[in-house]
Amino acid sequence: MIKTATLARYRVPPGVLMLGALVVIGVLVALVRYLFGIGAISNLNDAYPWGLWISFDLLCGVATAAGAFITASAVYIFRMERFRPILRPAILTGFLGYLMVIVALLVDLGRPERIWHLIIYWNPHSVLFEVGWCVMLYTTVLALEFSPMLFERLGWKMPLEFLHRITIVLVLLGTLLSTLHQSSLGSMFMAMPTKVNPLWFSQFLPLYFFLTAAAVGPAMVIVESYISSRVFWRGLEVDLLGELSKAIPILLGIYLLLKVFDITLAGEWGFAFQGGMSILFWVEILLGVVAPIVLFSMPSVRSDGKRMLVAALLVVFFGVVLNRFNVSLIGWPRPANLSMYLPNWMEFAITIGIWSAGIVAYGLVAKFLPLFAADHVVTPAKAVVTPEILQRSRFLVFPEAAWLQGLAAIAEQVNFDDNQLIFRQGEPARSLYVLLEGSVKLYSKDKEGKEVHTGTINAGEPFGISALIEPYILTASARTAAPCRALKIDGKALRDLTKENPALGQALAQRTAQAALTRMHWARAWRESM
Amino acid sequence: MAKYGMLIDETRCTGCRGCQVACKQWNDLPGEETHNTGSYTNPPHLSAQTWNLIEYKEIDRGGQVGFFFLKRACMHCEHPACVSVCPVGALRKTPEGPVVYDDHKCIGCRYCMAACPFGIPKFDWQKGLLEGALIRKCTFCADRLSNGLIPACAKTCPSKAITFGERDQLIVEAENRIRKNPDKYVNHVYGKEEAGGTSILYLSAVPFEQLGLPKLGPAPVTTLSEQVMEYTLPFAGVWLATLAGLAAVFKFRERGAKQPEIGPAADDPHNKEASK
Ligand code: SF4
Ligand code: SF4
Repeated sequence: MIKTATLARYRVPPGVLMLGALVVIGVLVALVRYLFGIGAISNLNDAYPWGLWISFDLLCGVATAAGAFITASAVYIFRMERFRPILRPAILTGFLGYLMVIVALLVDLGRPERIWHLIIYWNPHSVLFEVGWCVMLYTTVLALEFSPMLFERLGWKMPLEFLHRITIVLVLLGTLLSTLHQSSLGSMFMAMPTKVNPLWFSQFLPLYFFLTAAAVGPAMVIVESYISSRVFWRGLEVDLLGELSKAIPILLGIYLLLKVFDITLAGEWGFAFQGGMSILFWVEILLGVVAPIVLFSMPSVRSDGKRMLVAALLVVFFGVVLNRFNVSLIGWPRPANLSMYLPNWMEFAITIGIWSAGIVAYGLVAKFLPLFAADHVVTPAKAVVTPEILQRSRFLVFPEAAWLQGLAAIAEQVNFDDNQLIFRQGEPARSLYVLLEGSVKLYSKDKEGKEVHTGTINAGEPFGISALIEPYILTASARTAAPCRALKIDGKALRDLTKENPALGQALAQRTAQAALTRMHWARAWRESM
Repeated sequence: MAKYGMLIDETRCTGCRGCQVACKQWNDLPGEETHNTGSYTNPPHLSAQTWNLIEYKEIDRGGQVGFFFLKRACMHCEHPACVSVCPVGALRKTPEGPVVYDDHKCIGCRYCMAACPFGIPKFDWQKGLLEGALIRKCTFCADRLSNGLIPACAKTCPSKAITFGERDQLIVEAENRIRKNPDKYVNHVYGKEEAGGTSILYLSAVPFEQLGLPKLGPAPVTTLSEQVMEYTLPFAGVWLATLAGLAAVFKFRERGAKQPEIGPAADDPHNKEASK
């Protein structure tokens, strides 16, 4: 119901129309390919059986989707609850990323209608056999990890509960499958010692592919959070991203050391100073590996959204995209009397069409499903608010697990746009709020009935405390000063809870009194300064 | 079972292209429309329509430029890279020698093309879904062999440059020819050991790289990738156990986690402002 209503009100923005047009072009080109063959839409030929689609859509696509398993394992295996707000976007990107890879393969494969042969005909010697299985299984895992967003929206409790119970299994499987095929994309090229350039060919190829994918995972989460914070007007989780990005210098550092060791051992440094490929080698190493190691080691970068974005883009473009092209395409020997393969416009049209579709799909999910943590308004409170989330506010840090569970059970997460009225002075105080993100301004009417600014609530602080104080009437209005995320605790339920648990009631009352006092100080100081 | 091979003595080849035509005839392959590329090699490359090609090389031997020929077709490797990498097992090495392809299994990934060190498998680039694109390459006339016939190219060759027989005996024969005419041949039987050995063996008067055959070591090119595949399952088991163990450890640690101190901490903005 809600959905159709929202849909009807939804006007298609011009950016989406343009993306839609690009998708249509891609579909038309694909149609030509299905009618007249791959040769009809590409410069691929017998000397270059693999081109843009394998190097970019498959290799880069899979690598840049690594954010999903990195974030999921951080939250569920290593119990870093603080990363939960970026988990869903990362999983969505991963899921869409893999779907995009599969669509690209359906264009690139000579016999796309037989893709299921991978299931029934096995060749355990073939790395591609493993890649195929891992991609199939992992896409399924990602679909299951993504599906709670859908079920929450639909309000289907049964599958939600089931998925909730098997989450850890899914995450373990997903991490295993990702490790396997991120690395096996590198192993694929170990079958071609005469083709891959010696600067890139190595028995460590699987490890190289894995390490760079694991590093580009967080980098992609940064890029994507930055973009979506712009597009969807939500806050950027700078602290979280900064924390996540600490992994990048470690992963890339191991990668760099291994590579230096490997080239030295093979005595191949001569190849690094010959012009041609060696220039690309240095561009890749210096801009894509060394520079990000330095940048992400600096706290001044990790605490600034824009700087992190730049450093992350270096990892994406030079550390991974350039690397995958060097391994799989540019570094290959050019066959005698043939010119270098360059993709033609229709190959790009396919790739661009697939990416456009991916972006549109992301936008639709962001619009209609509870993607960002703050959107969990429609979800049953139990499924969303955990004691960990409560404890992100000092106001709700309690040593007793039972207290936290009690509070979590009656709390829900809500989000507000900038400049949105949350409640109005004089109304009954129905809920207590605790701000998690953003900033809220309080206004009270003075004697002449004029609204004056009487206080500002910052992340971590409670507001709407009248819900705890008789006669439960709001003494101020609250309006957001930025896009906000808050915990909302039903006042009635809270009062019931404190009746059952007087100790909790006392602790809460004490903190509320403290907050009220602070606010009075603040208001007086403000008036006096006038 | 006899393991067959073919010995191609390039010093005997006259470049008549008889084998090229015989191959097209037996396999029902259409001619290709070509244009002058400045070389006698015609068509210029192997393709899905041309599985056997005589390449013409003008090679300078101490001031004298001469024509040399290379009969290029599938080598029917002993450890074929194409067979090793095909994800669906569409390619298969038969015990008799031919490396054959199953039209009905192939998914068209073209990994075989990328992996073959000799650049042999070719693809139907101009076929859509209805025609059904396939990988095409020399079959060693497996269909003829199983009916007691020798390959069409070997049957046709008027100058006896192509000898069909059992691989072991062909190697003996090739080494004999070198021994009898050491000045005529490069002292090497190409294919005896290259990339793990091939069913097709070459003798030549000029170095094989000049003819256009790649320099390859005795190990099959897919040695490393096959090794990785062997380690994959054990690795997966160990890794999954490790991850599960880590998950358990962290879950346990969280349960027994130190409880945060009571009340708002010193850096709580409320506290600071209230005590002012
Ligand atoms: S030459 Fe190439 S196509 Fe022929 S068997 Fe060897 S690897 Fe396979
Ligand atoms: S193109 Fe066909 S024969 Fe070649 S590796 Fe792929 S599935 Fe196997």
